[in-house]
Amino acid sequence: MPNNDSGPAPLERFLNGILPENPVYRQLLGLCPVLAVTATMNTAMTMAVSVAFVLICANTLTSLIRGLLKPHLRILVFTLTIATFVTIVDQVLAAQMPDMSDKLGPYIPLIIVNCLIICRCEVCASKQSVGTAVSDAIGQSLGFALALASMATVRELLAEGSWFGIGLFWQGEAGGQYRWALMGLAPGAFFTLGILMGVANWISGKYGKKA
Amino acid sequence: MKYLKDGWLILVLALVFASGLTAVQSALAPKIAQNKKDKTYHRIPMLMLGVEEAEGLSVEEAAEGSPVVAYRVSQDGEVIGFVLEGSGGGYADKITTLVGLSADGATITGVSVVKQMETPNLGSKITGEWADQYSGKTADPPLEAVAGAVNLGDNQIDAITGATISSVCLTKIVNNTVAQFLDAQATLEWIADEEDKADDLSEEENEHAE
Repeated sequence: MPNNDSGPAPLERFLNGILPENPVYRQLLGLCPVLAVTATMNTAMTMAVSVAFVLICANTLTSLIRGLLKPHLRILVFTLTIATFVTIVDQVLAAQMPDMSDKLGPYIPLIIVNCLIICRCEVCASKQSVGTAVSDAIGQSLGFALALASMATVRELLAEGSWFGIGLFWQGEAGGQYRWALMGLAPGAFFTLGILMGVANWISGKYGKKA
Repeated sequence: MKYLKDGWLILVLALVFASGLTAVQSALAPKIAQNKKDKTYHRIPMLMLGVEEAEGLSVEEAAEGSPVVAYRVSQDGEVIGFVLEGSGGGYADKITTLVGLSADGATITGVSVVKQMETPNLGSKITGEWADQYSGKTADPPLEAVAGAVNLGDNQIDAITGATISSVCLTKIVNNTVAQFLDAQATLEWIADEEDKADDLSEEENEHAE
């Protein structure tokens, strides 16, 4: 492993994570939770916080031990590190937020194989200093949270007429009967992802730097 | 030796992580077990009496290793019925449900689904008000879910429109759970919970209401 700190600076890493290299809309990483848990804001935000915790911890630890990594065993170390922090999150959720833990079901343990985290360990944390790795993790987590929030906002508004479980005015007018069930199901997730991804690409094509 | 030279970092990390996780697990395990239990306990008043909260309830659990998961509920020292836990296949995934049964085993006093992965907004209605219709039905002959019936018999359940399979599955699970319990009832040993659950019940209800 090259140990010299060559690569984007901390601030650039941080900003890149939010839109130019947004994990979901630009890198298309971690799409499993993006599709699976964005039916409501509550589940989406719990997922975003869990991923942020795991990513920041894993990036920090990987960066600290980057000098000791053997090239052919690095993925094993990443997975071991990630699995540990994911298990902690899973246990804490089950103890402190049992209802949420039930709703998220297998998707918390599945963070272990979320390629967003392995990608950041590989691309940034295993090559750069702790400071850069942490700001990269925070930037990517924010980008991931933004993507989940945008998906969940669209889907929950259309499917349930609510946001964070709070009913909005048109739900009241329909007597609490407002439903567009499709948006809460898997097809709704794919439609929303496709449309939002198109919008994100259009925006960055219009205002982003021309290659 | 070569393997040790390459792999020592992984061995060390695995040891450190494993001991860390053991600490986390042993710290949180009682809380997690308690959460699971609370989930059953705070539904007992609703399942037995159809009210959110009741005074003077006490609960005994069927001893571990029994063929069924069941709780015996008493009010002011008198047995008022049983709460049974059962599960079985649904439309999408396993459904786990609690069934309230009267003391004589003849009447179902309530059904409350604990865990399900049915289609949102269709099959998932089994967790809602729809399940209220189970209370008061007779346990024998077995219940039957029917679609679009106009006059429902004492053992008939009106299936959810668009989710007939979920309704039929849940009804089957209820029947099986009751039948298994009645078979095993004579052999069950009841063990009182160490803690006084009656007080806890009302506290949890308050927390739940917030």
